[in-house]
Amino acid sequence: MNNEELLAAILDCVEYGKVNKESPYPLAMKGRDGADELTRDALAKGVPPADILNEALIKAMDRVGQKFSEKKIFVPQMLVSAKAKNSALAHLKPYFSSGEVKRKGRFIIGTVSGDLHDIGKNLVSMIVEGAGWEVIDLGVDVSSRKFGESLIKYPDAVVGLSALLTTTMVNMKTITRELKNINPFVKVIIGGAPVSDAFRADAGADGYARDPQGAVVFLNSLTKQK
Amino acid sequence: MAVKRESIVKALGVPHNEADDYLIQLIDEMIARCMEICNPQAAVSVFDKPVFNKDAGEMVIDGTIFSLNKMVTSALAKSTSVAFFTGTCGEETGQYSKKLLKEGHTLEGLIADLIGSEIAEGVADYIHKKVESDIALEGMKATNRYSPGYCNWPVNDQQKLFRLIGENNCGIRLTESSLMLPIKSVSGVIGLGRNVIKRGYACAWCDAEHCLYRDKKNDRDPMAV
Repeated sequence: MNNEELLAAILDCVEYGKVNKESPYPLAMKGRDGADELTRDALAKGVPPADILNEALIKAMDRVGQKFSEKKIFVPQMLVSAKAKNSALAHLKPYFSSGEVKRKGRFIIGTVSGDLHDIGKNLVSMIVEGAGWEVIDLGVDVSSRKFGESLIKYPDAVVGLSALLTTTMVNMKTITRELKNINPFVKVIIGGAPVSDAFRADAGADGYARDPQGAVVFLNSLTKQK
Repeated sequence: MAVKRESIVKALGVPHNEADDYLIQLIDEMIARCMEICNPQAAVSVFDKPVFNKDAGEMVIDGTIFSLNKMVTSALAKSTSVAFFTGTCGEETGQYSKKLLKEGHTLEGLIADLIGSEIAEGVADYIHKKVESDIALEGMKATNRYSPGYCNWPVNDQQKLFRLIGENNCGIRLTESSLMLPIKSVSGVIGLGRNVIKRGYACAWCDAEHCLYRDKKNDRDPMAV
């Protein structure tokens, strides 16, 4: 395969969720190399890592996100695609560290203080990373102080707050206020089952995402504004 | 107690006819695995002579005032006793879910998490049916079950419920924010009496905007983060 064909093949693998040769899914691609092997091969053949990220991985996840928004695919397919993307991304990590490959931006995310739910946050982290962002995941039960310290360390980051309880979602107000005290220009996005856009306005946050794709749309809209 | 494949498919947000063979097989395998490792427990504490103040939306048990809100108070008001219950799936499925997520098996981890939720709900169903069948022998009936955090019953009342039931709590502990640990746990109250009625959940008339389970018949969004 030439470079273009390799990139197209990697894109297909991520779009359809073909992680590696062993993966039984999808049936139509059984026995073929997956995103893992093809990315390794592409790098060995000198395909620029930035091309792999931008022309294959991000494009594939854009398509996945679009199909999900249009209800052409559902959560399981999205997650398998993300897994395929991660298998490719693992090969690119050294190039991020060296600065050869650039991310779209930084995204700090955490579940707010008093709350230990993390599965939704973890799904957002994964999907946002697949969309080309560097994710700094602070974990669960994250205080406003810890969010603040992270923002001071990464002043250009967008911050995402997750909560799953009515008792803890109220902490989003305090955290948002304190983040904006540190940096009035910081963008804050919130999410969580009890959260709504109306609550976003009340909390003083800039965005609300009902699902991980909503978070990606919000983040990408910020890069377009620059 | 069994977890139905269809409930997991639905919880994943997949329409009934869109679940492919791969997903069905994966869910079946995960259900079997989680049922092997889970450690479900249930406990019930019955308290007699609850006092209800419908106007204030309150129930008083042994001097403890529960701020149920008017709708729940009205649903329980004819009870001559109440059964506080706790139930849990245990820590094991949650730990298994986390392990899978850490290893990059995100879909499997999410499925395990959803199965844990279904097991916990199954424990609540079991408790409810057991209470109903036990009291039927005495000519008594049971109301629907209500839990702090739902139907506009403030989740902070979880603290009062757990203080009242003492050690009879399946080993569930509460955080300061009233989160139950293990996370896949349930708690609530069932009204008991000869003249009670088992009402459906009146979501259409409830102003609890932030209730996670507004109209239980509606599909839950699994990706609501």
